[in-house]
Amino acid sequence: MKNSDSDQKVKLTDQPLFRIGMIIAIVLVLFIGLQQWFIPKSFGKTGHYRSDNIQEWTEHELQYAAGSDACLTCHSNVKNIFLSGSHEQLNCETCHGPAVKHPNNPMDSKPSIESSREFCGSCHQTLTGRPDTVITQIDLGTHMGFANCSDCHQPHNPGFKFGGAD
Amino acid sequence: MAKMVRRRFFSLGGKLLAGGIVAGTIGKYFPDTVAHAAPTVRTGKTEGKWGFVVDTYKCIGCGRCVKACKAESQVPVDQEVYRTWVERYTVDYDKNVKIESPRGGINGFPEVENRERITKSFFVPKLCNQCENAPCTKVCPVGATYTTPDGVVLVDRERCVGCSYCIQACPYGARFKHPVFKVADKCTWCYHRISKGMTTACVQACPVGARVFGEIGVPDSPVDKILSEERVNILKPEAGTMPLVDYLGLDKVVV
Ligand code: HEC
Ligand code: HEC
Ligand code: HEC
Ligand code: HEC
Repeated sequence: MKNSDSDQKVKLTDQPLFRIGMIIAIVLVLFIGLQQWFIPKSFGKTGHYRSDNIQEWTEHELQYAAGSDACLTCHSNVKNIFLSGSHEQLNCETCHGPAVKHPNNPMDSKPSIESSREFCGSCHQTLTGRPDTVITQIDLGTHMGFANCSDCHQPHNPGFKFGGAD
Repeated sequence: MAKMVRRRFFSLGGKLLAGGIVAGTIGKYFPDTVAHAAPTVRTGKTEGKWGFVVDTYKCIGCGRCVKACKAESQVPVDQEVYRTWVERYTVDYDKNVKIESPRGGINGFPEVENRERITKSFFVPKLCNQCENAPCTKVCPVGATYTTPDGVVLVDRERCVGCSYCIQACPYGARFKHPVFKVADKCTWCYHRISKGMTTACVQACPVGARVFGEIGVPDSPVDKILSEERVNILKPEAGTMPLVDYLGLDKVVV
């Protein structure tokens, strides 16, 4: 009788079970709080990574335009000869470098122009490993001395300028 | 009452466990006979992913792809790090194999010294294989590198701590530490371009069509056409990485 009486006098907050419960609750709240704090928002949505990062990569800045079509609209004089020549399969920016900003701002952002013999030779120079079934090769050292390639070949339609055979 | 519930619970659990063990054992001694009955092996890649084909018969080693890649992905040109690069293989009369890639091939290749002794020679462009079973993503301790649902392996620059485990894990040497951002970097198949319907910078810059990019499983995709009609090969099949890049004309000396 007496025992149960004193039992009831022990305050709720002094009961060992309650204390352990409180400690567990605090640890749990801390853990969940820290987890929320440290794990980025979109982590784990689609896998063990931050899925927002996929979107971030799609927003990376462009340097090259979508293709030659983006250039031919304005450069109709180039277009007239380019599409019937043997450089037709080349992209404008393969020779002129990245130019995505140029169409919106043609005067301030000009693509590069290279026209040295070495420039043409980077594709046409005879070279070990370079398949002659794929590209016509010449020897820069012997092909027409030191004259500029564009003296005799129009880069946008490179068949011999004065030939007239085709 | 409580005891009854517990007993029932344990007895059910016991039955399940016993059943599992028996089934597992039987399965072990009677391997899947159905799989052996069908001799066809499915080699196709997962539909809905991007695919890439490199035609080594066509590559002329001009280096335009390397140049375009560096410009498009803003990797410093003067540093010896490359998201894509071109190697030249030369085999001579004594069967010596020489592999060279001066500055990744960005400025092309010099003529070899002993041209008359070369029996075969060709160029092999390399890039990230976007493996379906990628070893690099598995070793990342912070979940900074992963495969997107359309099959491209990316690096989260915000999360990457630069530990370089993934660089070591890649059997193709396709990863490097970005000299500016100090995080792991690699080819993304120009994710910012392909997600807008454009092709990659290297494919666009190639003058001879030695690089082909497109979707897998779409009938008029140029990649799908090659994969279904041509004899293709992958790099290091023994690594079990299941690359999404296929090669035409891959020689056995290529590593
Ligand atoms: C909106 C129209 C427009 C588009 C689109 C355009 N250009 Fe131009 N481009 C111009 C104009 C205007 C000039 C300046 C002509 C001049 O200097 O007389 C120019 C000049 C050039 C030049 C010569 C630069 C120089 O130094 O003289 C090159 C090369 C060139 N463009 C290439 C390109 C390429 C490659 C593209 C496709 C990415 C392109 N253009 C798209 C309008 C355009
Ligand atoms: C084979 C490399 C090559 C390709 C491909 C190429 N160009 Fe050129 N382009 C040149 C060279 C070289 C010059 C300089 C010509 C000269 O010095 O006479 C030039 C000059 C130009 C010029 C300025 C002078 C001129 O001739 O009008 C424009 C504009 C131009 N290119 C636009 C284009 C466009 C647009 C395309 C794509 C349809 C293109 N180019 C493709 C090599 C190329
Ligand atoms: C990026 C590589 C590249 C560059 C740079 C380049 N060409 Fe070409 N050229 C080609 C390709 C590809 C062809 C078409 C395949 C072939 O017939 O050789 C071609 C074709 C030609 C042809 C026709 C060959 C034939 O018999 O049909 C001539 C001539 C030519 N180029 C001259 C030049 C000149 C001159 C330059 C420099 C202004 C130049 N090329 C720059 C890639 C290039
Ligand atoms: C003095 C004029 C001249 C100059 C300069 C010149 N070529 Fe030629 N080139 C020719 C003639 C002529 C042909 C033969 C044309 C033909 O057969 O249709 C030719 C043919 C070619 C061919 C095709 C070869 C073949 O077998 O069909 C290529 C490629 C070529 N030249 C590239 C160049 C390059 C690159 C340069 C600059 C380094 C250059 N040429 C400079 C006149 C010239």
